Amino acid sequence: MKNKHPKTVDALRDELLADDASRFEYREQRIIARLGGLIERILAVDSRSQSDLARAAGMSQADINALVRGRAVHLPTLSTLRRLANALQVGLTVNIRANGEVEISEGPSEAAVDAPRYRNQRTS
Amino acid sequence: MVTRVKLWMHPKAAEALAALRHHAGMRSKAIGSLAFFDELAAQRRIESNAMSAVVTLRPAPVAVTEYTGASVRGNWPETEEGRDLGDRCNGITLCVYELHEISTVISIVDARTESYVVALSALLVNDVDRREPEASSVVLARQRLGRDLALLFDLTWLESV
Repeated sequence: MKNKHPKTVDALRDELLADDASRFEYREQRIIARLGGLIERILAVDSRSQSDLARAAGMSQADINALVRGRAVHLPTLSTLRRLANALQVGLTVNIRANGEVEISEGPSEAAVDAPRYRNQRTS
Repeated sequence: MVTRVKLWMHPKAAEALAALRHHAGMRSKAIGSLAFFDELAAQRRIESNAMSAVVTLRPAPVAVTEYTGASVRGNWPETEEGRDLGDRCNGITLCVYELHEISTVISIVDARTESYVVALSALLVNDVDRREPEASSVVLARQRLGRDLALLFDLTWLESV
């Protein structure tokens, strides 16, 4: 097996992402990892537990843990994202492009601007 | 001061991920791992340049060990590159992630204005490990951290652009 490895990280990337389906999967997995980081950061700032979020969002703690640890296999559905945003009191912007690419970013929604996190940001 | 963050990979990790692409059902696990590494480096880039006092690893690893001070300086090889890194290295963070049934060890080397996110190894989490309780997974992960640290110091990482 020696010398079978790709010569650079980008060579490995080219090998793994050679077709459209693989590239789509790659982008989806990056969004899942980003979402997991976002959820964990908000939980830390608000001093909340995963089980507390699970209860508030009507999800299982295992599902929350999978997201936070970057283990989720598929992107959460729009309905789940809505419940997560509501439970976290954070605005989530979901951008679905014509080519099927999805982007999720954080932004204060109208309903969330009174949450302590944004109140502090506005006054600092 | 801007910190440059780059993703690197040890040949062992690259070889393991490249091998998975030939197995039915495993290719997506390798893709998921690569996506995770890229996102980790991207998040590190954002946090390193956000003037925050503490750069937090997110998503959260299963296990993490941090090295600072003399312990991060003396283990680099006696080459020009090794001495250079030994001089510049402020800290090493070593962590284990378990994603998509692949357990990976990632090291983050902080070296003044540069930060290297290095994927050191990638192993399939076998069914036996899966049945272990969470506490045992953490113990196993910590044991791997000690073993894989040597891979970091061999300086054979694969470059990324």
